[in-house]
Amino acid sequence: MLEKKMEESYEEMLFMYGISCAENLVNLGKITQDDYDKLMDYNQKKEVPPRDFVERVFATAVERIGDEKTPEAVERYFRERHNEIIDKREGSYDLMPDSLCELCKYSEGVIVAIDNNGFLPFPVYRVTGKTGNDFAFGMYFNGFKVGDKIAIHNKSAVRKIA
Amino acid sequence: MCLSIPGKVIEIEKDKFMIDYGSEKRQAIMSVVEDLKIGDYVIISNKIIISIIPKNQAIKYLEIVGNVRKENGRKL
Repeated sequence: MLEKKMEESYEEMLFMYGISCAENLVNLGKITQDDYDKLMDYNQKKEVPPRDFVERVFATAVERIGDEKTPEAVERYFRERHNEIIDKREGSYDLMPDSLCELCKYSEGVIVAIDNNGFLPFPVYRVTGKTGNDFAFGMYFNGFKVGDKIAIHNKSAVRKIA
Repeated sequence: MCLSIPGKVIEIEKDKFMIDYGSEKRQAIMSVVEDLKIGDYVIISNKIIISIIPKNQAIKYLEIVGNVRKENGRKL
Protein backbone atom coordinates (compact mmCIF):
# COMPACT_ATOMS: atom_id res chain seq x y z
CA MET A 1 0.00 0.00 0.00
CA LEU A 2 1.40 3.37 -0.97
CA GLU A 3 2.08 5.81 1.82
CA LYS A 4 -0.33 8.72 1.62
CA LYS A 5 0.97 12.13 2.55
CA MET A 6 -1.82 14.47 3.42
CA GLU A 7 0.11 17.50 2.31
CA GLU A 8 0.66 16.39 -1.29
CA SER A 9 -2.01 17.93 -3.47
CA TYR A 10 -3.17 16.87 -6.92
CA GLU A 11 -1.13 19.60 -8.59
CA GLU A 12 1.93 18.76 -6.54
CA MET A 13 1.71 15.11 -7.53
CA LEU A 14 1.30 16.06 -11.20
CA PHE A 15 4.35 18.29 -10.88
CA MET A 16 6.44 15.70 -9.04
CA TYR A 17 5.65 12.86 -11.41
CA GLY A 18 5.69 14.93 -14.59
CA ILE A 19 8.74 17.17 -14.27
CA SER A 20 11.31 14.55 -15.26
CA CYS A 21 9.72 14.19 -18.69
CA ALA A 22 9.47 17.90 -19.34
CA GLU A 23 12.41 17.98 -21.73
CA ASN A 24 10.78 15.34 -23.91
CA LEU A 25 7.71 17.57 -24.03
CA VAL A 26 9.83 20.49 -25.24
CA ASN A 27 11.59 18.36 -27.84
CA LEU A 28 8.27 17.20 -29.24
CA GLY A 29 6.79 20.68 -29.25
CA LYS A 30 4.18 19.93 -26.60
CA ILE A 31 5.34 22.74 -24.32
CA THR A 32 7.53 25.78 -24.84
CA GLN A 33 11.04 26.34 -23.55
CA ASP A 34 9.52 29.08 -21.40
CA ASP A 35 7.17 26.56 -19.79
CA TYR A 36 10.11 24.26 -19.17
CA ASP A 37 12.15 27.05 -17.60
CA LYS A 38 9.22 27.92 -15.32
CA LEU A 39 8.92 24.29 -14.22
CA MET A 40 12.60 24.20 -13.33
CA ASP A 41 12.28 27.48 -11.51
CA TYR A 42 9.42 26.17 -9.37
CA ASN A 43 11.46 23.05 -8.63
CA GLN A 44 14.53 25.04 -7.65
CA LYS A 45 12.46 27.23 -5.35
CA LYS A 46 10.71 24.13 -3.96
CA GLU A 47 7.36 25.65 -4.84
CA VAL A 48 4.31 23.91 -6.24
CA PRO A 49 3.09 25.50 -9.48
CA PRO A 50 -0.56 26.54 -9.69
CA ARG A 51 -3.03 23.97 -10.92
CA ASP A 52 -3.81 25.66 -14.22
CA PHE A 53 -0.12 25.71 -15.13
CA VAL A 54 0.61 22.05 -14.39
CA GLU A 55 -2.62 20.96 -16.05
CA ARG A 56 -1.65 22.83 -19.20
CA VAL A 57 1.95 21.62 -19.24
CA PHE A 58 1.05 18.01 -18.51
CA ALA A 59 -2.17 18.08 -20.49
CA THR A 60 -1.79 14.59 -21.96
CA ALA A 61 -1.25 13.04 -18.54
CA VAL A 62 -4.21 14.98 -17.17
CA GLU A 63 -6.41 13.61 -19.93
CA ARG A 64 -5.23 10.07 -19.24
CA ILE A 65 -5.66 10.43 -15.48
CA GLY A 66 -9.28 11.44 -15.98
CA ASP A 67 -11.80 13.50 -14.08
CA GLU A 68 -10.77 12.44 -10.58
CA LYS A 69 -8.42 15.26 -9.66
CA THR A 70 -6.85 13.76 -6.57
CA PRO A 71 -3.28 12.87 -5.63
CA GLU A 72 -4.35 9.22 -5.47
CA ALA A 73 -5.56 9.35 -9.07
CA VAL A 74 -2.18 10.68 -10.23
CA GLU A 75 -0.37 7.98 -8.32
CA ARG A 76 -2.69 5.29 -9.65
CA TYR A 77 -2.15 6.42 -13.24
CA PHE A 78 1.62 6.21 -13.02
CA ARG A 79 1.62 2.96 -11.09
CA GLU A 80 -1.03 1.15 -13.12
CA ARG A 81 -1.33 2.69 -16.57
CA HIS A 82 1.70 4.74 -17.58
CA ASN A 83 3.92 1.85 -18.63
CA GLU A 84 1.13 0.15 -20.54
CA ILE A 85 0.56 3.33 -22.54
CA ILE A 86 4.27 3.45 -23.31
CA ASP A 87 4.32 -0.21 -24.36
CA LYS A 88 1.43 0.45 -26.72
CA ARG A 89 3.29 3.48 -28.07
CA GLU A 90 0.24 5.70 -27.66
CA GLY A 91 0.43 9.40 -28.48
CA SER A 92 3.92 10.88 -28.65
CA TYR A 93 5.54 7.62 -27.59
CA ASP A 94 5.06 6.54 -31.16
CA LEU A 95 7.57 9.21 -32.18
CA MET A 96 10.20 8.37 -29.60
CA PRO A 97 12.99 5.79 -29.90
CA ASP A 98 12.48 2.58 -27.95
CA SER A 99 15.28 3.41 -25.54
CA LEU A 100 13.74 6.76 -24.63
CA CYS A 101 10.37 5.09 -24.17
CA GLU A 102 11.94 2.57 -21.79
CA LEU A 103 13.69 5.35 -19.87
CA CYS A 104 10.34 7.12 -19.48
CA LYS A 105 8.70 4.25 -17.63
CA TYR A 106 7.55 4.27 -14.03
CA SER A 107 9.13 1.93 -11.52
CA GLU A 108 9.59 1.48 -7.80
CA GLY A 109 12.72 0.52 -5.95
CA VAL A 110 14.28 0.30 -2.54
CA ILE A 111 17.39 2.38 -2.11
CA VAL A 112 20.39 0.18 -1.34
CA ALA A 113 23.13 2.79 -1.73
CA ILE A 114 23.53 6.48 -2.37
CA ASP A 115 26.29 7.87 -4.61
CA ASN A 116 27.34 11.37 -3.71
CA ASN A 117 30.04 11.27 -6.32
CA GLY A 118 31.09 14.90 -6.26
CA PHE A 119 30.67 15.70 -9.92
CA LEU A 120 26.88 15.83 -9.81
CA PRO A 121 25.06 18.43 -7.69
CA PHE A 122 22.60 15.77 -6.50
CA PRO A 123 22.76 12.14 -5.35
CA VAL A 124 22.35 9.06 -7.49
CA TYR A 125 20.25 6.41 -5.79
CA ARG A 126 21.11 2.78 -6.40
CA VAL A 127 17.87 0.85 -6.09
CA THR A 128 16.62 -2.68 -6.31
CA GLY A 129 13.13 -3.53 -7.44
CA LYS A 130 11.02 -5.81 -9.62
CA THR A 131 13.23 -5.15 -12.63
CA GLY A 132 16.42 -5.87 -10.71
CA ASN A 133 19.14 -3.38 -9.88
CA ASP A 134 18.71 0.12 -11.21
CA PHE A 135 19.45 3.74 -10.41
CA ALA A 136 17.54 6.98 -10.05
CA PHE A 137 18.83 10.52 -10.14
CA GLY A 138 17.90 12.77 -7.24
CA MET A 139 17.91 15.67 -9.63
CA TYR A 140 14.47 17.09 -8.89
CA PHE A 141 13.64 15.51 -5.54
CA ASN A 142 16.06 14.04 -3.06
CA GLY A 143 16.74 13.66 0.64
CA PHE A 144 15.86 9.97 0.54
CA LYS A 145 17.67 7.41 2.67
CA VAL A 146 18.92 3.86 2.27
CA GLY A 147 15.98 1.59 2.87
CA ASP A 148 13.41 4.03 1.49
CA LYS A 149 11.16 2.71 -1.23
CA ILE A 150 10.79 5.35 -3.89
CA ALA A 151 8.75 5.98 -7.00
CA ILE A 152 10.88 6.52 -10.08
CA HIS A 153 9.90 8.17 -13.36
CA ASN A 154 12.25 8.70 -16.28
CA LYS A 155 15.17 7.58 -14.13
CA SER A 156 14.44 10.32 -11.60
CA ALA A 157 13.46 9.82 -7.99
CA VAL A 158 9.96 11.19 -7.45
CA ARG A 159 8.87 10.51 -3.89
CA LYS A 160 9.09 8.09 -1.02
CA ILE A 161 6.30 5.58 -1.07
CA ALA A 162 7.25 3.34 1.84
CA MET B 1 19.36 18.67 -16.92
CA CYS B 2 18.62 15.59 -18.95
CA LEU B 3 19.64 15.76 -22.59
CA SER B 4 16.87 13.67 -23.98
CA ILE B 5 17.99 13.89 -27.59
CA PRO B 6 20.44 11.35 -29.01
CA GLY B 7 24.04 12.31 -29.61
CA LYS B 8 26.74 10.43 -31.50
CA VAL B 9 29.84 9.12 -29.77
CA ILE B 10 32.79 10.57 -31.67
CA GLU B 11 35.61 9.98 -29.24
CA ILE B 12 36.33 7.53 -26.44
CA GLU B 13 39.26 7.96 -24.11
CA LYS B 14 39.40 5.62 -21.15
CA ASP B 15 36.05 6.30 -19.46
CA LYS B 16 35.38 9.66 -21.04
CA PHE B 17 33.26 10.11 -24.13
CA MET B 18 32.82 13.01 -26.52
CA ILE B 19 29.28 13.24 -27.87
CA ASP B 20 28.35 15.17 -30.98
CA TYR B 21 24.91 16.82 -31.11
CA GLY B 22 25.45 18.57 -34.41
CA SER B 23 25.36 22.13 -33.12
CA GLU B 24 27.55 21.33 -30.12
CA LYS B 25 29.71 18.68 -28.54
CA ARG B 26 29.48 17.57 -24.92
CA GLN B 27 31.56 15.27 -22.81
CA ALA B 28 30.19 12.38 -20.79
CA ILE B 29 32.38 11.33 -17.92
CA MET B 30 30.92 7.91 -17.29
CA SER B 31 28.58 5.38 -18.80
CA VAL B 32 26.18 2.82 -17.42
CA VAL B 33 26.11 1.30 -20.91
CA GLU B 34 28.95 -1.08 -21.61
CA ASP B 35 30.89 -1.76 -24.82
CA LEU B 36 30.20 1.57 -26.44
CA LYS B 37 31.79 2.24 -29.81
CA ILE B 38 32.50 5.35 -31.82
CA GLY B 39 29.46 5.97 -33.97
CA ASP B 40 26.96 4.77 -31.37
CA TYR B 41 24.04 7.06 -30.59
CA VAL B 42 23.45 7.59 -26.90
CA ILE B 43 21.36 9.48 -24.37
CA ILE B 44 23.21 11.44 -21.73
CA SER B 45 21.83 12.61 -18.42
CA ASN B 46 24.03 14.87 -16.36
CA LYS B 47 27.23 13.77 -18.12
CA ILE B 48 26.38 10.11 -17.69
CA ILE B 49 25.56 7.95 -20.70
CA ILE B 50 22.41 6.16 -19.63
CA SER B 51 21.16 4.55 -22.80
CA ILE B 52 22.11 3.55 -26.32
CA ILE B 53 19.76 4.09 -29.26
CA PRO B 54 19.83 2.22 -32.59
CA LYS B 55 21.10 4.53 -35.31
CA ASN B 56 17.97 4.45 -37.44
CA GLN B 57 15.75 5.36 -34.49
CA ALA B 58 18.14 8.10 -33.37
CA ILE B 59 18.25 9.71 -36.80
CA LYS B 60 14.49 9.55 -37.18
CA TYR B 61 13.94 11.12 -33.75
CA LEU B 62 16.55 13.81 -34.39
CA GLU B 63 14.68 14.74 -37.54
CA ILE B 64 11.42 15.06 -35.60
CA VAL B 65 13.00 17.17 -32.89
CA GLY B 66 14.87 19.22 -35.47
CA ASN B 67 11.65 20.07 -37.27
CA VAL B 68 10.03 21.11 -34.02
CA ARG B 69 12.96 23.32 -33.15
CA LYS B 70 13.05 24.88 -36.62
CA GLU B 71 9.42 25.86 -36.17
CA ASN B 72 10.30 27.36 -32.81
CA GLY B 73 13.44 29.07 -34.09
CA ARG B 74 15.81 26.96 -32.02
CA LYS B 75 18.91 24.99 -32.95
CA LEU B 76 19.15 21.26 -32.37
